[in-house]
Amino acid sequence: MNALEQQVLRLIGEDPAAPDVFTDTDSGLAPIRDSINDAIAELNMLTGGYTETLTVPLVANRSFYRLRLNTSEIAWIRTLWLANQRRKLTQTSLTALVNDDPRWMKSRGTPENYVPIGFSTFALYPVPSSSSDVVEATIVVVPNRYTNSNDWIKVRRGWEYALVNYAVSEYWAGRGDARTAAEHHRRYAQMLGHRFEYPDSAETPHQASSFKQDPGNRLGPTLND
Amino acid sequence: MTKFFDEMARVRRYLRDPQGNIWSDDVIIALWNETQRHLSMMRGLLEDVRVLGAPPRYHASYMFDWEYAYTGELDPVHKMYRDQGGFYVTTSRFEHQVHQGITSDAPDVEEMVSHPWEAWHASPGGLVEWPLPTDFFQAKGVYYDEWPIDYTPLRRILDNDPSWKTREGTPQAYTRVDVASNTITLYPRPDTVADDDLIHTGENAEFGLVADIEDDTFLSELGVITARTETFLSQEEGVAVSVLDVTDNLLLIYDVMPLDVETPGDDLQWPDWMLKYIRYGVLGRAYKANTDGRIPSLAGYWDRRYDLGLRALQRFASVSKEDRDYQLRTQGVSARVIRRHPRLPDTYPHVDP
Repeated sequence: MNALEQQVLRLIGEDPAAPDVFTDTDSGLAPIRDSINDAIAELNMLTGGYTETLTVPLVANRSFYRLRLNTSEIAWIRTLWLANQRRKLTQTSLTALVNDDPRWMKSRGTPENYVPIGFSTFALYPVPSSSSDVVEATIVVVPNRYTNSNDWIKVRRGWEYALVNYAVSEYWAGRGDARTAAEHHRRYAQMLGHRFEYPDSAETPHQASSFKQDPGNRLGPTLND
Repeated sequence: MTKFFDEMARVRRYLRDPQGNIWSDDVIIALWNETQRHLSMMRGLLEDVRVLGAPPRYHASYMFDWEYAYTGELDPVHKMYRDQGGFYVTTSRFEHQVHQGITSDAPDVEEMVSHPWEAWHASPGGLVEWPLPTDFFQAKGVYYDEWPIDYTPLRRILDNDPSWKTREGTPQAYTRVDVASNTITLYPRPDTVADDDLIHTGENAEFGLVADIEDDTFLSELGVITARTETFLSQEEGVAVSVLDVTDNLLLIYDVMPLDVETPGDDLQWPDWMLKYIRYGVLGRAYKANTDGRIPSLAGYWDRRYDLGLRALQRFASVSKEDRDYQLRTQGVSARVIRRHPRLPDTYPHVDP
């Protein structure tokens, strides 16, 4: 069992070295791992903390592309990068696209925009006119559930003990103690706190800017003019 | 894709009822279906894109409502002819007059088709409806032959075109006569359809009998209408390039209302990472039900977890649009398209403009 599972056992009164109920086997640890995996999924879903990159070959006259992964589940598309053109595609919505160009499905050219549909499908506009380019899709994913102690816990290190409290909360809920379960779930939320809402805020420079232009002489001509 | 019995095992674990002594499988399945519908209607995160072939394809046609119960797993099924309130079925209008003992004949210049594809071999006197996917909830975009067509209330069509039922041409709009039938009607009806993928074989080929449809499963015992499998391909690995053939067909982008679970072995339509929120809702409802296992404190706890889940999904819907650019626009003016020029590779020396 990994360090997080050991900590969960300690908090619920088990001895990690010699557990009575949650033995160090796949079936014995299944409830604990289920809870930790649920927490990992929730964190990744909300923060976009883990991404994968897919290379999507474009096909002439094909506008819809469906992505599929074996190691994770797709949450959303972070960015699409057109390799030959070395630029990103701009995300738009179906409504805006139809408003700007009702015949968007008939337009052919070099893609400039994409419309995400559902979790794993996107449409390109204009529709690629040739099969010579590829798109690199950076997608936020929810990793598949980990199954053994050596698997990578794909969560920011600072949040790992929040996962422990999540699992302990579900243990107590399973035992019927709603109050203790709620307390631990509250601790899970508190440990994420401000960083949960804005995980990149400490590293992101925030600034306001405006487009300045010469205001001219607002008071009108002067004696010097 | 997760099977329902995996989630049911987790639900039973938290209910502390692994043998189903208090909450039977049927109860948990019903609570699951109720919760997933609630979640879907509250957040609407499931979307899909499908091609509806033109002409519309049905698995079977029937006349009387009581026959519907015998169509079994065939879906969609088409109700043909004129149903006089369930008392009897007719094809021509004059038959109603004969039934009432009236001698004069009401005009009925068009043919009555029994199967929708016949509408393009005759002049149908009624509506031709397209069946929507079983998990259809609401449309986000409908396109015919790559052109968008908008929803138009039936009333507006009736006001502007008395001959709307038989009007043929290039579809400009679609309407829904009712929502329970889960169909749409194109207006005007397409005057031509591409039947290149319909293979007319057998001794009845010259009558337009559809014996097989390319990429579909052919079941001879069903006679005219063959069983139909998925209309789009998906590869097992990596990237699936869509092969939605939208030429002269209907493309539908829609919100999905997940199908009800019927047996523990059913596949679930949700991503695995969303299933826990439905589980919370099921647990809250289960503990609240008036059974021997009713525990209000746990019902409250899981209800709060479900509410938090709804808020989390709301936040997810917001953060998943992080790549979108928002701009203020003047109403009616098209957004300026920013065209970026290709960049030279970084190995090229910098040149001042």
